[in-house]
Amino acid sequence: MTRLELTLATAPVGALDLAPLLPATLSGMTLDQIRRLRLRHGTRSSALGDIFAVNGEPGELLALRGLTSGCLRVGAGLASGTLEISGNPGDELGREMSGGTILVRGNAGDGLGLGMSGGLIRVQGSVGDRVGGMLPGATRGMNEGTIIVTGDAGERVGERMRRGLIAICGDSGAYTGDRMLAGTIIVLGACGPHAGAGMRRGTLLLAERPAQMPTTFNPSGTFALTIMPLLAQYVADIDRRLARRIADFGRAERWCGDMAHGGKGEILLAAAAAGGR
Amino acid sequence: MLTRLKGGRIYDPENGVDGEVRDLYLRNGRIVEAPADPREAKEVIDISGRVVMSGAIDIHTHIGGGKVNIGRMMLPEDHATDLVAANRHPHLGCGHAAPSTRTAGYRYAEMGYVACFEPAMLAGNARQAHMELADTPMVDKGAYVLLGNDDYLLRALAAKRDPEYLRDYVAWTLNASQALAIKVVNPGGINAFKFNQRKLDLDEKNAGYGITPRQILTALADSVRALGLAHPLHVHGCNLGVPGNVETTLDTIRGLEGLRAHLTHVQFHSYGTEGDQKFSSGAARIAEAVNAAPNVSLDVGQIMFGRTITESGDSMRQYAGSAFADPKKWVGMDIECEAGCGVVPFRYKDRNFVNALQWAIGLEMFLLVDDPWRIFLTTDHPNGAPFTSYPHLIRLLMDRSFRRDMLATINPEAQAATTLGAIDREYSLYEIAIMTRAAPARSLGLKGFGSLAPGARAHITVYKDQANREKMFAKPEYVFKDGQLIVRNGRVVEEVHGATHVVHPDYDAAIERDLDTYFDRYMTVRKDNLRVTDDEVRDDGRGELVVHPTKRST
Repeated sequence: MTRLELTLATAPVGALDLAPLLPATLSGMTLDQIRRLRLRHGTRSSALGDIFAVNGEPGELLALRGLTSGCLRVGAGLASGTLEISGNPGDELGREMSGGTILVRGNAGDGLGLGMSGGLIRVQGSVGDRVGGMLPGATRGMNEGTIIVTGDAGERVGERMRRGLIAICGDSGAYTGDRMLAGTIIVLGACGPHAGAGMRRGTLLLAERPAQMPTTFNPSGTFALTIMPLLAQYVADIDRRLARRIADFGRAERWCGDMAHGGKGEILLAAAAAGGR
Repeated sequence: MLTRLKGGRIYDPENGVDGEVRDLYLRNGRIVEAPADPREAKEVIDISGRVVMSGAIDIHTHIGGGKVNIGRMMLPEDHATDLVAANRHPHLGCGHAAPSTRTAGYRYAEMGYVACFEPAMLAGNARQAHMELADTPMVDKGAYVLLGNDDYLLRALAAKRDPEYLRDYVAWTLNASQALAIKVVNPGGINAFKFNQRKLDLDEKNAGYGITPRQILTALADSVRALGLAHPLHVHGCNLGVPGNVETTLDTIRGLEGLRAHLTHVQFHSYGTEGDQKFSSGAARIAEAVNAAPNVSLDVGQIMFGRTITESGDSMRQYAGSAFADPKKWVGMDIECEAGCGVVPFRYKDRNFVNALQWAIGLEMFLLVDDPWRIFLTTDHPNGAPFTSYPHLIRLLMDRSFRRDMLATINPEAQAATTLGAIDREYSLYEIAIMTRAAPARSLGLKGFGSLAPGARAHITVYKDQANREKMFAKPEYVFKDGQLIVRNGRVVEEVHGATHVVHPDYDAAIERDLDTYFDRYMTVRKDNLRVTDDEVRDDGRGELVVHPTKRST
């Protein structure tokens, strides 16, 4: 597979908008054309060649190296191809993404996968708030796709999420699954307060029991759910370790809620967590 | 300096000039007589073959005040999906249906508009409205203050106070809120909503006060007449959007008994109940009544297909419409229990029978009302469509075959239900100049506007004469405001700030004592907190206050 590599050489003043850098957009261009591309930062713009060192050959795979938190909207609108990112990119990575893959070796900022409708984002570090959340003004968050975060996540993971899968292998902050409409969120570490607040449907899978279960959720028994092996199988292609953890969940204690919003959602506590009751 | 605009084709209905080729001379912001020797002009701009009109005026456009801001807050996607390149003008802003103030001013200027009027300012919210208008550059502006659902007026009517007392109150409100005219929205109905009435017909009593909309309408229309305001009572009638409301509107016209009134966004008030869907066009009946009633003028409130926001003081009707919100969210508001407001996002669809027929009804109205001096071009921005659709609307009016092509694309049942296809009328450039320039200037009493005669303010738009009228009106070649070139080829080249137009009719100071007592007793602020001072409008010299004369000016 051909690979184009852009290495951040001189970070410009002001937030750098990297939404234009998609494999499909660059694939038909020569290296010179790519160097001449204008990138906006703050209220100004500069040639890509003045900001990045450009190597390789444009194609399906685009590597962005040495990104900093000033690099916004990396991979926004990605529909196909693969983005490999090293460094710690900033906010709104994979915003409105509809397909393809983004792999981040480092931490990412707020609003990862905002309004996402397909594709896969894997982050090997930690991320900020509102993972898979909604665009400003939208009534629905993430609509499809998969987000897997190896580290921790901030507040409001999967806010108003409609469909898809978000897995946080570390801890997640307050209001995980806030006003969730449907979809699946897995948290392997500690989950912050108010999990599933305002949740209508969907599943919140927690490996650890929260310090306090939300008062608007009702316990409704312990089950060996068929969905677990299926979920493990789905994830196995992407992350074997995560798949093993899900397979180890065993029987799950099921809590229904949010009872103030119809109560068709559920929080599933892994057997180990339930046993520690 | 004397500037000569050479060889343009002039359309100046105010002075009866219909397409005559002649030169225009400008000096110190005014149009002046041709000098004896044309060489006196130091600057000559050759506009041979171009169409020249005065600057356009929008008589009814929601560009400032509380509800517009609610729309902006509730729909960030309206801005996020309609970005303006930041390098065009720094900090210009953006937005589709509820653009930021600065964007609105620029877009108006870029279509050749020089004055815009916000038709729904609440006295209690006047300061906010004027601040937004002050932030709207490029155009002159003004606002109509809402009366007719306020507790004070309704109490006075219920107590059968004499007309003189009402006039004093109306005059005080105009002064305090720095308004140009009076508007009434769903007379008494917004108030009745708070007494759990969900509709209020023209002769139905408001449960709280025992007052009917008809009483409110005639009382206000009479006050406006007695105060001698140039612009008649601006009426947003009862039953907006209700099938069958054509009867209400006809009743309203009859009920005015010769008093002058301006019926606004009449398209929304011209629905019958015929046909399988119990929704039909009442445009022909309204047009007939308007043609026979010289005391009535109207603007259409044409709808255009696409996404927009409906923002109205009519909380009663907006509540009813909230079920159709797209996207599904809406806001209903009340300010100080004085009036209401509802903001409902909406998408007009050409495949939808009702929307398609609404579109046709608006166009029927334009084409069936004979006198262009009494019908103004509006989309009730943003309720029918954003004002940026005016050029498209002008093309629909001026180009019969284009209109028929568009008609062929809408819902087939709506096509069958409208007479639009059979109407041959095409507006001429002269008539467009009347309805967008001369007539609104006259209706609002704006001296020096809507005219290209010597002495008039040098508001001039120059268009390339193109067969495609949409393209032509979307992008004027030159726009002059007060003699200054502000737009070149549809792009702003100079940012200017317009004046605010107001009236200050005199009133008996005794009303202030009553109001003081009333405010102390019932309101959260004192009466004097409402008053917007002249200096506030002047805004440290950025703005300018133009006070128009009334019968009772001091």
